[in-house]
Amino acid sequence: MPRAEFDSVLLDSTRLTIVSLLAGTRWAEWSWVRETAEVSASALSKQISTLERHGYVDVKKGYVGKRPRTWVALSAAGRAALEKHAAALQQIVDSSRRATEQ
Amino acid sequence: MSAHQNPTPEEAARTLRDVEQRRIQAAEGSGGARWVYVVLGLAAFLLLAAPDWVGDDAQAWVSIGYAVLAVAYVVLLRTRRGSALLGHRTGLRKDELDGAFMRRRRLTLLAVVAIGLVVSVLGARVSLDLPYWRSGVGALLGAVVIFLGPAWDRAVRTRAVRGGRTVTEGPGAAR
Repeated sequence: MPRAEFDSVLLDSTRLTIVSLLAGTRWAEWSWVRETAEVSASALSKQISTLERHGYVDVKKGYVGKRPRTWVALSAAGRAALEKHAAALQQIVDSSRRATEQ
Repeated sequence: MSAHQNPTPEEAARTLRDVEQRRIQAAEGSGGARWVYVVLGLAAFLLLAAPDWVGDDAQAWVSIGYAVLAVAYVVLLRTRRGSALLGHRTGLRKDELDGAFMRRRRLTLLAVVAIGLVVSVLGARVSLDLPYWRSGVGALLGAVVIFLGPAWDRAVRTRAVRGGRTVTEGPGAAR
């Protein structure tokens, strides 16, 4: 059986949660990601920095009226990494199913 | 899941399910602010009720105002800042949505708009015995938009995303 190739960055559950949330969006507000992922502001900031360093997310800052906003978007590299990671997980599930059927 | 060893099939299935759930959460979180539905509901009421209160001449102006409002809404939704102004905290990816479902939804919306226009045009010409019936219909439509709009919108978005992809099957997968 070929060994499943996981993305090392996404082995962290918080980072996987963040990337999964962003996968369905063109962009998301930083505060929405924090609330939905149920992590503290400092923890999110740290994980987003890691993802940004690996080129998995793009971060943009701006203003809406006088209020500052930060938007996060999954990059093409981040999307590819998530797909690769999900494929590796699916491979384990499929292998187990085949073994059960035999 | 451990960073040093492969997950068990159950862990892998659970993680895949979580990934899928998070994607659906993004659809649920992409709704607009309540005030947007209030404005749209009031606009629907004004469109239908205007002839009852300010005469048939107002119909054209109210229709133009409604069209401007609808175009502004669509244009704002296309940008991050505009969407944020309307209370949207995420922007959904189009390719996450079920194409067939979105086409059916678009046709339904077009049919509703067409019926609304026909009713408002006919309403300006037809006089029923019931006084202020157009205001009554407008108030009903406005109330539906204001009170049921957010829930309906959320349900449609969630259904559109769910319909587009199948949840991963495997040991421990949710049925």
